[in-house]
Amino acid sequence: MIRRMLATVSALALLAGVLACDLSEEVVSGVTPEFYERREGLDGAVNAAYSFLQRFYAQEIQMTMTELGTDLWVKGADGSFKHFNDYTATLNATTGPVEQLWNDSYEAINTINTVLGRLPDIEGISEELRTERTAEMMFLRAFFYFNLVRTYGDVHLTLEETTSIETEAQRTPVADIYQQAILPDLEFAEANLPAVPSAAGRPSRGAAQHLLALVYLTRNESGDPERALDRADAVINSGNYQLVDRWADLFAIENERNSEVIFSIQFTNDPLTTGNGNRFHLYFLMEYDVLPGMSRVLQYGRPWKRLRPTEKLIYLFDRAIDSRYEDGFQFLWLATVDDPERGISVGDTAIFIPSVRTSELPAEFHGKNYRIITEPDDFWNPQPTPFGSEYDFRSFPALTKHQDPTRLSINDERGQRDFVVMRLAETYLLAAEALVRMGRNDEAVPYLNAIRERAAYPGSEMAMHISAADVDLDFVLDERGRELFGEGHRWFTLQRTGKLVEWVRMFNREGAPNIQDHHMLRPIPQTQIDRTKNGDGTAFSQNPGYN
Amino acid sequence: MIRRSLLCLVCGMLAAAPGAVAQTTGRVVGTVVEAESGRPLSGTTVDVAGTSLRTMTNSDGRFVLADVPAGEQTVRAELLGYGTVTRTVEVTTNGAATLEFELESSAIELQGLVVVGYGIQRAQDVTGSVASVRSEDIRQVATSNSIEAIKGKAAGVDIISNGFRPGDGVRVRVRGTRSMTADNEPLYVVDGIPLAGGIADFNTTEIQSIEVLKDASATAIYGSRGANGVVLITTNRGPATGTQITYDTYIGTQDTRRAIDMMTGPEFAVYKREAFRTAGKYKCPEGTDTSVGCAEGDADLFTEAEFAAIQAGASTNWQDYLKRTGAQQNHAINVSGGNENTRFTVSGNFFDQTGVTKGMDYRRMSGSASIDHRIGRLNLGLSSTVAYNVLNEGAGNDIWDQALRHNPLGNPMFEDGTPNPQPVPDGLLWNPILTLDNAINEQTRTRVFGSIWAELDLAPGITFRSNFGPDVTYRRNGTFAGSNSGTHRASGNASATVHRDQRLAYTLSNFLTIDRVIGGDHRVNTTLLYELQHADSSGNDISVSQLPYEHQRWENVGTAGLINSVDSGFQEWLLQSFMGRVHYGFRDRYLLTLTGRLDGSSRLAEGNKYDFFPSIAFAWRLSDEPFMAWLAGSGGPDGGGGIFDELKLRASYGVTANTAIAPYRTQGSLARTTYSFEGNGAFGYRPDQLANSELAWEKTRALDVGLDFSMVGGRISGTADFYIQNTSDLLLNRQLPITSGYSSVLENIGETQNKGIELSLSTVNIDRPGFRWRTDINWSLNRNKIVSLFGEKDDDVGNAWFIDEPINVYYDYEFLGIWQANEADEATGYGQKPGDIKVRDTNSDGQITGDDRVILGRHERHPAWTGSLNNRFQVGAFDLSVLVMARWGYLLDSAFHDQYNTLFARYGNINTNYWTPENPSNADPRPNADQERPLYNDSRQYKDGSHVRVRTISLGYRVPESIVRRIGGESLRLYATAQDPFLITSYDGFDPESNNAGGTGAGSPSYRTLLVGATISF
Repeated sequence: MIRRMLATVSALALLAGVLACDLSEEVVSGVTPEFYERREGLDGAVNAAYSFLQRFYAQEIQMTMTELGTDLWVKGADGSFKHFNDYTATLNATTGPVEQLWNDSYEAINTINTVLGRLPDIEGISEELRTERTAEMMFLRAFFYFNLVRTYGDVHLTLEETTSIETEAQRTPVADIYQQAILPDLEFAEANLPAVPSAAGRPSRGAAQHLLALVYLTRNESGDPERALDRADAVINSGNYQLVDRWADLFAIENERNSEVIFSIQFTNDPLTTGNGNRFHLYFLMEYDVLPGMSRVLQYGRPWKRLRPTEKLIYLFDRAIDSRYEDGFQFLWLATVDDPERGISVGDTAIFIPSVRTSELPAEFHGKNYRIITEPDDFWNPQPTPFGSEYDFRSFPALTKHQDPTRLSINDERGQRDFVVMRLAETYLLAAEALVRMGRNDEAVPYLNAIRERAAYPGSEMAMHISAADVDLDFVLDERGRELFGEGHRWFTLQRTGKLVEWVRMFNREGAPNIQDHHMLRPIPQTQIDRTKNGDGTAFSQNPGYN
Repeated sequence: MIRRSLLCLVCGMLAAAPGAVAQTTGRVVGTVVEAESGRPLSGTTVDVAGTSLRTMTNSDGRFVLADVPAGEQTVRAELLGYGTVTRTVEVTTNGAATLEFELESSAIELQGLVVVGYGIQRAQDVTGSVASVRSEDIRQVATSNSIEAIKGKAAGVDIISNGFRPGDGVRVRVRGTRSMTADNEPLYVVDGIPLAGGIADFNTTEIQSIEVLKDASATAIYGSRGANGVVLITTNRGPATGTQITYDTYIGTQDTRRAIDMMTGPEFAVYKREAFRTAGKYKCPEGTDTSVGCAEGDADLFTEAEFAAIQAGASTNWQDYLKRTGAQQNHAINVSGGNENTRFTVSGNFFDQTGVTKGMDYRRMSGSASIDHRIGRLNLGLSSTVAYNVLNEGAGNDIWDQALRHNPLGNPMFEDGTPNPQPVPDGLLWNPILTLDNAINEQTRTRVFGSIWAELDLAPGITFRSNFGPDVTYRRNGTFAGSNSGTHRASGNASATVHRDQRLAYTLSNFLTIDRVIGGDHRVNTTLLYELQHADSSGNDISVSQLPYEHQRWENVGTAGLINSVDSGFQEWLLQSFMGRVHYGFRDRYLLTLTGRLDGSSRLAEGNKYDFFPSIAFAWRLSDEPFMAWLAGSGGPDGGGGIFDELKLRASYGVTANTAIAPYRTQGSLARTTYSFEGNGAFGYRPDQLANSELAWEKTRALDVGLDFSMVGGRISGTADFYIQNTSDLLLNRQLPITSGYSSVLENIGETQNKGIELSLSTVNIDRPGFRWRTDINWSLNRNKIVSLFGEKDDDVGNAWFIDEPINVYYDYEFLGIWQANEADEATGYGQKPGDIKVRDTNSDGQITGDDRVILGRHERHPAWTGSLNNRFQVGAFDLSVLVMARWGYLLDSAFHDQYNTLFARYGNINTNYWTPENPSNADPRPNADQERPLYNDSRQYKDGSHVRVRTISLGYRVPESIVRRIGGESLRLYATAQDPFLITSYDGFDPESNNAGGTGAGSPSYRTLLVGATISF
């Protein structure tokens, strides 16, 4: 019997031996980091670096962090992030946009660092392509770091791919980040990017120069205005970009890739590649769709009413000669449904904003069957009127720049327009700003007039001209407001020129009581502070004022 | 020779060496056969009472007992699965007495037998900690989920509903939570086959017993999968004679337990005025009472729809439109039978539940069959279950969110009775009634589970068994959102997604069992095992919109105008194991179990794939000790009338592990990205998971000390256990500062500990003819803590992990109340104002920062204690059972209270006592139309979840046999049950268990069930 047992045991062992399996695993449906060593992997990593642009640009967090809480825009009826307008205590280290921009930027930077670290070893590509891709990645890295330092101040600096677990992080002074990352990267990009990129959406030499101009104006050390002017001039004189003849044409939906665009974030109408889409069409619209005679239609958009123009913005234009007020806003809505009770049929006027104060409404408009929305006599205390209402948190002129009637359906939040981050008009304004910083106000005049002339109604070109006596920094900033309102620059513009606190107090009565000097920077996300474990016991510190 | 003398020495030390005195002896010889078939039974233990004489039958069923003292002797034959037979025989000196035993097969549960991994043991032989639940207790609860049926019936097993939608599963934790990242669900083993999928497909009526293995000794045979406990499920087997048909049915209704107290229309109006007054947007003269308002302010504030409702005094309780009376029914028919060589069962089951929320229902049809057949020494068998499930979630839990957040001033119906799509002009508030009719989420699952086995008796007590268990699951999940659903809001668009996946898994086990009795006193049972488990799963997904016609749901997605995404995936894993186990029993008093298992898993990093898991357990049956004789009851060796029938001390120690991480986690991975240049797609890959080539097992070392007792003739019996489990090399999904580009990484770091006490007590309070009252009590507590993290004794605030605190804690600001008008100055110091939420400035530095967060109460996963009380009465033909359970001393993170109490004046709100300048409440802050959520709103969402639940009250009646016979039956029981009739808790959401999964919102309401049923057999 013992023999039988032994036989069984050996049979069992044999069976086990035969069946003993190889336990190594092979990834079939995914890819591992080895993929980056191949040529296709390189393309994949480069494309991945671009994809991070869609996470901030043309999204609610960009709107929240660049337009809310400025002199030109204040909060509308809806939205979760009104504290960015009001500068209240809920604008703190745990608020979503602050954490999201931080996280996305560092994921992007690690992706870029990965490409840059591995590019030299990729085989089978030409040296030209290698250099071009290196320059593109350096441009993007500078772009992300620039957004980080101007948002948060001193941040963590890393230029290498993360290959092992890192639990430490340091706050590197802003000046070092400019010196070690942003400037060298952009200088390399400037030297090696093509004048005309292979496709819209890739940066050109002009994009690097435009960004350099902005970076120098932001850093603003001695000699920086000169450097900024130099780069801006290089773009303007390159011959690669021209101002579009009519200001309104800039924002025509079919004209998203015009001669003025220097760098844009790409969106399409293909849901497979557009990510969350360009969402700026949502935020600046007023609530037309609940008013008599109206329903929500593609042409007028999906009104999220996150932002409404301030008194300053609506009175910033010389409406008689400057087309940008009338072309930049929508004042008229035609009925989309019948309202027999009020005698409105489809196609009749349903809402009209006549651009006058309530007390100045001409008699001819009294007793109309459509709704009339007038400028408040007291902007911060709008009142109901016999004709409709005054501008308030639901009713106001709607920004036209981002409207997108080509979306797939009325409630689709994904717009397909490219989001323009840099355009030539801004380059002119950067040049003017640099000159004013140097005290050469008279030389700034031609740059400003080029912009203003283009914006004039036909025949008013000369009237739009200004002279050296008109020019100072405030004027340049106001001109930026007239030209670029709602394009995602304003908060950074006020911040870099030191006007943020002053102008919010002056022009934004909702933020005025709360804004303090420390609001010039955003808080460091609480998660970053909580998770950092430095060996030397130092903590990742919070920006002052956010404790 | 030497070995034998050593054994003798041990024997001599352990006992008073019976048989040392020479006397006249004879022999007893005979055979053991199965009563029904006359087939010889090998491996039957035959012993002589009061002596250490013991032997085992050979393959012909023959036995020989030598050296039996002359005189009248009691001889006992015992075999697992058969009733023990005792015979007396007169032994004469040098004579040979002959005995023939006929053993009758019997159901396992009647015999004090316990299913353990890879075998069955007598309860008295069990050395580990095993909780056993009998079928009558399983059937006490009417549920689609077998595991839910043992809720509250096994000490140390914490079972919590994942929600109250039909078909919702449960969360099972055996002796607390060990792992922070890996799965904490126990391993389910059905008829010896470890499952790759869930347990939901097995019907309660098909289950004969459920055993939960809790300590390391019991679970160590499952090695790397045993750390979270093991649940063994044994399905029914046919009897050896005749044919029996059983029909089991019940049918009942369900209704919601409670509605949430939301603001009514008039209350909403007052609150909206207040919220806009706070924001400076309610235009009324100073001092206007917001409960009345002023005409000009109201005209500006309220939309036309709201205004009309206020004028009319109308109010809509949206919850009323979602509820209905639900129903539940179950039909199970079971046919079983057999003869001496072949046994079979065939059963069919239909379960159907119509949820208390419109649009939700669940149906399951299943069938199972088993057959086993003996050909000489070879036993062959097959059992299989095929189940088909259809679960329709309708619009999902989200529908309740849509209803609760809706404005009570909205009018749900037009005058013509059709739903008003937008009762108030708010883009986010769509009529949930329309969504109900236009949203579908249907999941179907087909499961085929089988076990094919062959068992060969190699020699008496030596058996080789080979088991092959395939487990195949196909799933399809289609969702559809029509144009009139809340997703699309009459935009003319309709969208659908369809997901399909399949999982193919199998387990192959080969094992050898050697059961020997050596020299009468020594019983050795050895098991050697080789096992292979493999699973692969693959699936695909498509998401489309712009469907040209809606009645297709998701069944013709090729016609869609737009493809939103297309995806597919594949993964597989493999586990290879070698196991050996030895049970050694000396005189049935000293029991020792040694186990070792070598496991290799494909999921771990090269070099760390294999590991060894040993365990040791010792049990001492004190009741059989001669020196305990004065205490021992009738079961003792001398048959005296003491106190204890059974008294056993157990101790075990062992190592188990947790391999429940997803495959490929050691390799690092990239995630796909999308972009485009000039409209041309530019797909890419970004770094996503950091590779960790050193991932290894998460190990648990567990010590268990237990006591089993039975006294006063079995009237009182119970078990007490104390355990300590230390889990080390935790698989930690450690949060990283994102500056590295990664937000987390999976690592083996740190240590956790679970300590606990479990008590079970069963008493027969009254046992008279015609009246019997039994009580079962279970009580357990578990204390969990983190022992270490990342090497040093350092808290990890980012993950809310704190040394010496439980794995899960609520780490947040402590809610103190509301800033009052007389505290305005102090509030200003914190950047706040009267009416805002006041939280504790823990470090008193005059500002509220992250450092002021504290650990609040006990986390939902770590209640102070859990317990249950089950009373059963039998009076004549009537029986009554009442099961009550409690889960006590913990907080819930009630997302519901965060979401529906934002006081933003846009959404429906819980009817709270909020602060206003005129009503200085200390409970809730001032409504504010400028603030989507109040600052520190989280601090108010931690609510006491302690509750006592009356699980079932069931009354049964056994129809007299005379009547049953007349209709051709054998037995008939009728019963009526109230399930979950009462819930005692201070929590004011739907149910403390309605949202334990940490989801958002309210979950779906819990319900009570009233049902009537019958069990008849023929």
